Amino acid sequence: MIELGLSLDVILESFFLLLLPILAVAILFSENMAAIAIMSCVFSMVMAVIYLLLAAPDVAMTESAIGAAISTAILIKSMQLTQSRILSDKFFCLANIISFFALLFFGAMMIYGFADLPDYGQGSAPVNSYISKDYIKNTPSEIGIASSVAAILASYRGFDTLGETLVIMVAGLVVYFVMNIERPVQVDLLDEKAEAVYENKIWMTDYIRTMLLPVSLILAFYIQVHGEISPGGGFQAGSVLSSIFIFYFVVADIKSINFHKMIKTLLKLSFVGFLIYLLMAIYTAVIGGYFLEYYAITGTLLGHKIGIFIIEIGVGITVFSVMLMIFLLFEYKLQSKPITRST
Amino acid sequence: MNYVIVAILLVLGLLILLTTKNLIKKIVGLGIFQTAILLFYISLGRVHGGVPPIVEAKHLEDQLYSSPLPQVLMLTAIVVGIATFAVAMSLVSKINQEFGTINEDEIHEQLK
Amino acid sequence: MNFEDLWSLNILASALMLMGMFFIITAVVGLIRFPDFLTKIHAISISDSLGVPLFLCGAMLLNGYNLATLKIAIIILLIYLVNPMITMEIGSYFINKKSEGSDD
Repeated sequence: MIELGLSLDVILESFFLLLLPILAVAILFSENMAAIAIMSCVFSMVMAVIYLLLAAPDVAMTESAIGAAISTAILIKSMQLTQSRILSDKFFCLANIISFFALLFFGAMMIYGFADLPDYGQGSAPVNSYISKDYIKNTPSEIGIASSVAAILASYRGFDTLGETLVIMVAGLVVYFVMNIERPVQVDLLDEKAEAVYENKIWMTDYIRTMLLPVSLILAFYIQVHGEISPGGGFQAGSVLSSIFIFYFVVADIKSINFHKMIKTLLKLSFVGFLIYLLMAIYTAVIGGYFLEYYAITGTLLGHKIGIFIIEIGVGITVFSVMLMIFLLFEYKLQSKPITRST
Repeated sequence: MNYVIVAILLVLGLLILLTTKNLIKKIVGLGIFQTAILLFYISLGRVHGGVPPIVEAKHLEDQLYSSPLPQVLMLTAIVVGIATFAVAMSLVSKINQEFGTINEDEIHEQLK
Repeated sequence: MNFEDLWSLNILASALMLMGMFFIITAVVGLIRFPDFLTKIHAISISDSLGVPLFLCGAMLLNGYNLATLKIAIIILLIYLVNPMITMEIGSYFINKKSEGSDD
């Protein structure tokens, strides 16, 4: 964000920051589940704007695609699954009052502790001084790409990103096994040979949402391959692409429920993404360097660019397939009524 | 100023988690708590007059950059947060399938 | 905002932005004052179709001859296409559902 001058910057940031506790209090006192879903979506969107004001565009992109789109979609689907619309909570019982005062004490302690931090925005704070300065200084010479965020993510801390991709993949696996799609369902709803049919009563919706898919594919590809020279990369591209696909399925009228093939394909695709990352890491170890040392691919700085490019593709594929698969599992569960005991 | 808002959001997130009996709203409160932690880390790395940490080699000496390290950590934290959120939602729907309700008190009564 | 030295460009861009803001304020006033759900979403659709695109046209003018201007143009096109479609979906669902009364 281009710096104007201290005052306008502070006013803008403070305005958005003051919206956040108001939204949180509204969620606290709200009794309508739809209102909670919408307010959490607005909360994530305001957070994305705040991240942009704090000069963190990568985080802003990821938060807007994931928090505002995917999180809200999963929240609404689970509200539909549990068929809950109105809450019934008593606020002023004894346990609530005790917890309120305990948390007030906790908040006072936190503010007292935060007062010892260095002033907001100082360049000389310890978090900015030692290793961050080294990362920024050494990125053009050691790695050769422009975005130091991508350099840290994929090269300096590449092992952490390997673990994160594994975590995302395992989360997809867990949701796949908890939402058991091999369970027998009512026979008249499931047709073994039929594909799932998503139509809509209004033709324009079908037209626009089908037209939006190739445009968003180009956008996601653009974000993915520009991860090295601008804010972008694997996480952002995967979440943007999966949010567009979720939009495609949300505005559809889904006639049959046979998502089996799609869910299983997405599961295998998430494995593929993680394997791309792992095989690239093992490849660099095999041809003579250390594990995840991209320099060994060609012996010059070009090796870093090639290595980072390939592992970002792996991360993007995994994030996209896991997010879409989780949403489709919820959708499948919503459409099918399994033969089960009634409670 | 950022830090005060972070403390308020931490308290509010935990308050939502503790005072409601509905399982889905608890998880929303946990999400608010998570987002407040992310805000804390990223405002730690902020430098007044700094631009996003996209480094061009010729501007290295005279340009102030925001710190990239908290941004990288929080980038992965967001995606892992949504993964745990999705797992929690699937478990809530499984609980609903078994017990027929997502109110904590009613589940405790059925378990007795 | 990088204000160039061309004052007519500044005045035109500022006029476009002010008109856009006027339409957004009109839409929000309509959202608050109209009585029913269907009339409310009719009022808010003004900001989608007129308010935000005018504002972004002003931003395009201030940005100069740039790649970012093309990106803003694509954003305006997407807003034109997608937001009225969503409004129509919401309204059609609201008309066709056969259950209990409206939740505002």
